[in-house]
Amino acid sequence: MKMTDIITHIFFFSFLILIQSFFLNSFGFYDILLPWIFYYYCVSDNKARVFIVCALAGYLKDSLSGGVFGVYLSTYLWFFVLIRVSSMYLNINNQIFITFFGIAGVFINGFFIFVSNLKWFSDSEFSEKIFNSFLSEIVYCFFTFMILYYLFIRIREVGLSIKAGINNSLAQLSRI
Amino acid sequence: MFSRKKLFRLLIVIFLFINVAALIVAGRGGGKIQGLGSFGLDIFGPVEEAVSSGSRYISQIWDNYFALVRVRKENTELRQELKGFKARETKYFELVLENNRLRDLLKFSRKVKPEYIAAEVVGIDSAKWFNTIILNRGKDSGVLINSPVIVPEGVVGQVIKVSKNYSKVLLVTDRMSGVDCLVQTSRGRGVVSGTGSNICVFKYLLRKFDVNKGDHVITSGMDKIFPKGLRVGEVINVKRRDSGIFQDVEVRPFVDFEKLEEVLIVFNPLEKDEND
Repeated sequence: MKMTDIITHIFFFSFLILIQSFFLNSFGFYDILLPWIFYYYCVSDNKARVFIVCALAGYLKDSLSGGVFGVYLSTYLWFFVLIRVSSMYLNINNQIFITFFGIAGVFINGFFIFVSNLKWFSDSEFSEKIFNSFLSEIVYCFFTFMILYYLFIRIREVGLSIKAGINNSLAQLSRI
Repeated sequence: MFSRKKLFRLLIVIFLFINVAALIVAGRGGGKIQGLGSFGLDIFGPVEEAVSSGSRYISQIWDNYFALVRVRKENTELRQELKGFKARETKYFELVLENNRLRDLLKFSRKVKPEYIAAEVVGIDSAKWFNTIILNRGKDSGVLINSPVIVPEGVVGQVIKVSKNYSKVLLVTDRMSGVDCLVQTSRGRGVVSGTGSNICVFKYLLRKFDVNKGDHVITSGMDKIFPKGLRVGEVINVKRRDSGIFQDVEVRPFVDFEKLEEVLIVFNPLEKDEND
């Protein structure tokens, strides 16, 4: 059961990476795995499993991206740590905090990209472009993070109801 | 000495510090840690290849069956254009022969003819901050790190990571990219560097060189990666400041990176010579 959950989420984040690569990057969208990590943390009862899946997602994303190896691994793991620590003090499912977590995730990602590419920021023109790009990520995040979070939850609910339907059908068949 | 809470906070700070330091060090080294991401590239490469071929197939259906209206007109135009190119090719061939004869006379060594291998683009960067593509050729096909990647229109980039069956190419438009180049007419030398957008900048080009809009930029061969004379782009903007020794030049690459499907990987003749 645990293994099925991990495999399902590996497929899920792989699918999200494909969507990000082929469609979302051209719009300057933020990393779509951030709302996914938040969703997965909220719905999972085993946080260690979430940590492992986040590490795998970071590894894969680092393998596919042209940046310094470790940028996404660090982003996802520290984002996980942020949610974990915050959940000790806050009700992270509260709608007020959900968007806050998204923006914090974009900042963490921006921070690690910054430290791994300090060379870029020596040029003022580049810094301006990067700043604008970062700003667009924040705006997208502000308006869509919560929507994506609820969308993932809805997908999970649909998936679980389909699974329950299949199990029921199988049970009825076995009775016959 | 420490309460559990304080120890936890201290550990977080230490881990964060180590993490940041490691990324800074890796970034300064160009971030090319070979091997770490190769396994992921081999695992996910086939998935990206499948998605890429699927989307290409769908777009081909459109191109082959629905967008045929303009093809006839385009065909006539291209035939006319081809006639002109045939005449130019004959002239060019004559010049090559003449060049070889003159080189023989001057006892210059003939240039080593580079070898190519064709590859398909199977994936693009999953992060918008970086401009890289994934090709379906890797170590098994003899691809090496730093191999130049080109298309008939011009330079695409260079290989930065190689796994068994796939390789990752840093495009010339990436911020980390730099190609030693020449302005074809004035022979002014500098480095064409990416900006993350579709426009590149020509750095370190001295003010004394006369550069104009529309001038072609070619590789100089001085970086020992790209062979000399490959087309890179066209000058689209020149700014000469009142002070400083360099001029600001913007270059638009000849290659349309959004429509890249097949590329050629050049087996670096210099490396080949050394191995021989």
